[in-house]
Amino acid sequence: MGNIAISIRNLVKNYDGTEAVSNISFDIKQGEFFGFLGPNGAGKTSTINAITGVANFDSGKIEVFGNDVVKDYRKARRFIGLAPQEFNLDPFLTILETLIYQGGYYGIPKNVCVKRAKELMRLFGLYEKRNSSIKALSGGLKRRLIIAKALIHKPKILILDEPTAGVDVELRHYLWDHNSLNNALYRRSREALRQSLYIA
Amino acid sequence: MHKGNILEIDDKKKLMKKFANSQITVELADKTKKIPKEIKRYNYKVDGKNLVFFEDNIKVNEILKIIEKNNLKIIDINIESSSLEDIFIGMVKKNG
Repeated sequence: MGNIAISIRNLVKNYDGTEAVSNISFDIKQGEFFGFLGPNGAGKTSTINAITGVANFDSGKIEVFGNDVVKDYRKARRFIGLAPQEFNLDPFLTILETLIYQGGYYGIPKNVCVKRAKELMRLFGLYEKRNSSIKALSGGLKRRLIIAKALIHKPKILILDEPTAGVDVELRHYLWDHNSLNNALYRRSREALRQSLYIA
Repeated sequence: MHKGNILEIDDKKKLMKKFANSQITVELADKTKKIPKEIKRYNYKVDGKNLVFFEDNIKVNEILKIIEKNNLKIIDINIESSSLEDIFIGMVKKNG
């Protein structure tokens, strides 16, 4: 597959007889900053859900770094960090706990998780609030945490679904600035230099 | 993407080159009584004291030289180019 991070061929997804994704095909190269634009209901999130295994699809083939997302779903999912459109946070956990638990899903030892969590919290301006519960956070801080959560297992692909919904101007500019985001990721990890960013 | 289909997929620069429109508005000191004949080869309109040019690849220098050569005094120049957002909205509207 060479340098192809995500390969989509003839993807079709229906919801109750309505075609949400109609036979689409495209590739995203490794290291590419890929923007996926479309009005509400265009099929962007359905496509993301198919890539990440959040939803099944009717036909077609998706590969992540050469791994079929259906047959080799464990391998494929490890490459991806998903920051979903909806907040998927447990309101009773703290920021630090959220990141540690997320790392646990990927089998990362707790001491490693804590180290990575601290790095990510500093990167996204969450460190001062690390022991605050999620329910006490503003929408912007929750959005930052969701992105940090997506990065805890050092994925090679970061998918941001509607990343600027409910964020302040500062973070919005930061997210849209490919260079600042990539530089920040690079500071974290040399591997991030080869990261693919995928923004819907 | 629109209604489950991919309308266009390309590098941002190439998309801008392919779909972006530009508009240059030259505000003159006085309302022009006679439009220089060299200007007539451009896609333009006269709007009060303004000369508005609609070109995909506007050659600003060329236009300014013509205006200067014809002794027309420029008060202000405004150049607007479509953003990626404008292109996106236009594409979605076009495809219903």
